[in-house]
Amino acid sequence: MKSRLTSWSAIVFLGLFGVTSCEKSSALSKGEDSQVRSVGKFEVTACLIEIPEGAIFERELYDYATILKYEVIAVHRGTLAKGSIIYVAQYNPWKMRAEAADNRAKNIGGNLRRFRAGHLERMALEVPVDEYFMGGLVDKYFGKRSGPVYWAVWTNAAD
Amino acid sequence: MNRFAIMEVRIFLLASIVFTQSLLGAGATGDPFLSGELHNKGWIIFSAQTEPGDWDIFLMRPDGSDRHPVTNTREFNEAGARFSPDGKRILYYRMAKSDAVDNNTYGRYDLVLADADAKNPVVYGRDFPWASWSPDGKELACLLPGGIRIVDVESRKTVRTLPRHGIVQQLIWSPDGKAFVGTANGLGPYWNIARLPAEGGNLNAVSETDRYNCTPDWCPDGRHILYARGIIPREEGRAELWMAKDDGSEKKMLYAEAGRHIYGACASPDAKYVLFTRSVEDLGAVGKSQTTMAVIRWADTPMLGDQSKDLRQRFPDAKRCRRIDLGPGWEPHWTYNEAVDAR
Repeated sequence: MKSRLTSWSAIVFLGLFGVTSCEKSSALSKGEDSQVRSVGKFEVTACLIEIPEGAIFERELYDYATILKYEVIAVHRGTLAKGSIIYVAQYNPWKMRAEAADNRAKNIGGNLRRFRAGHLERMALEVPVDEYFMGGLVDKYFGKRSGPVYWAVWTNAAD
Repeated sequence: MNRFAIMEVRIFLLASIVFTQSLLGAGATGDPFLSGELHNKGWIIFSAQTEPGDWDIFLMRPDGSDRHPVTNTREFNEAGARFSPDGKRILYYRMAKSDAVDNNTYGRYDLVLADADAKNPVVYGRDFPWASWSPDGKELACLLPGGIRIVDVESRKTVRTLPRHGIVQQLIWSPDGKAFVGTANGLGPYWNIARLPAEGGNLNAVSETDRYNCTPDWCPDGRHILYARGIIPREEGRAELWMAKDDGSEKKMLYAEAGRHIYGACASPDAKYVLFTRSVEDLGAVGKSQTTMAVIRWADTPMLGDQSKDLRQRFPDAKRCRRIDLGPGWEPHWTYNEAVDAR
């Protein structure tokens, strides 16, 4: 009985670990394409730490960007510190990145189909968000974060 | 009751109906006495969908009478019209018919300036988003990613630029020229109503910051702001018409209705009446929202537009509904300049 509990605990633990923690070692070259390598002033592989409740919702009436929290795993371009926490605005995050661009947010894209906590993304970024996007922001980190908010230009899955 | 008495009652009722209809403007329904007060109080300008399906600019008396289009373009939608402070000119935005008219994006298209009856239009183009008249009508404030740009109307040259501090849409210059109001990020988890001093400085929140708020406008005193107090995401509710002092104090409901979202409020130039829109479906896109216009007396606020028990619990002292429905239309604006329509 005890050993069965232990093995179940291990499975549950591994399951949770897979959802909430990034597999960092083998993903650094994944998600690379000509777009992510060329657009934006910054290019990183980063782990989406969490998706706060209510940060992503489908509402055709409002085109909005939501601010998500990432840990930088690798820096490919630009001056950002590996291991740092950054906040990134993703436009209409309930849409696949390849279908997110419109008149309000042109030239964004990527192959990521869905944001998932604990997964890696390779992103091309600009900063600050205000210079690249003029629309509603959902900021579930309001009052809890500091530093600039980056604007996600290109977002590819990287694991 | 004998037959003659019944006949007298019928005649009285018929006369009452005829009297009521004579007071109400064509296309308007509601309080006939309010309608009678409003007929000669200037003009309302607004956008509405035409039979062919595009959106034109219309003029109308504030009682709903004399409604007529003043732009007649089949290839464009026209939206977001506002009178200059002297009521002699208008600005509005023009977009392709294929572009949806949307509460949150109309100010991003081609700016057009024209006479108040839309004659002599001059297309300024896309470099003047979310334009708003200065108090003397000689300048426009425009909202761009790089800041609020003050532009000379005649030369179209930039006079000065100031940081926008997160304001993203629906920018309106105050009647005294001392501040701007707009819909802004950075004051809470969602977008809110913010005031920004015209000489620079920081934003202050005017609305509550725990919900979506939008479509602000100044009251004529330059100290109070009307706005749509929106919903909290994923909770029940409708946008309501509220007012607050420009420092965010004295928040007050003016009109709410359980069955409609209330947006686009505009005070009459003497602040005795409030004009607004009622939408069955929430805005953004206006086309499917079934949006109509209405007007109420300021003295009759706070007012509930229907018999909602929930709203009555929240606002036990609110008055019963006495409004005039003005028919389909969106983003109305009001002038007391009688010379607007020279037909």
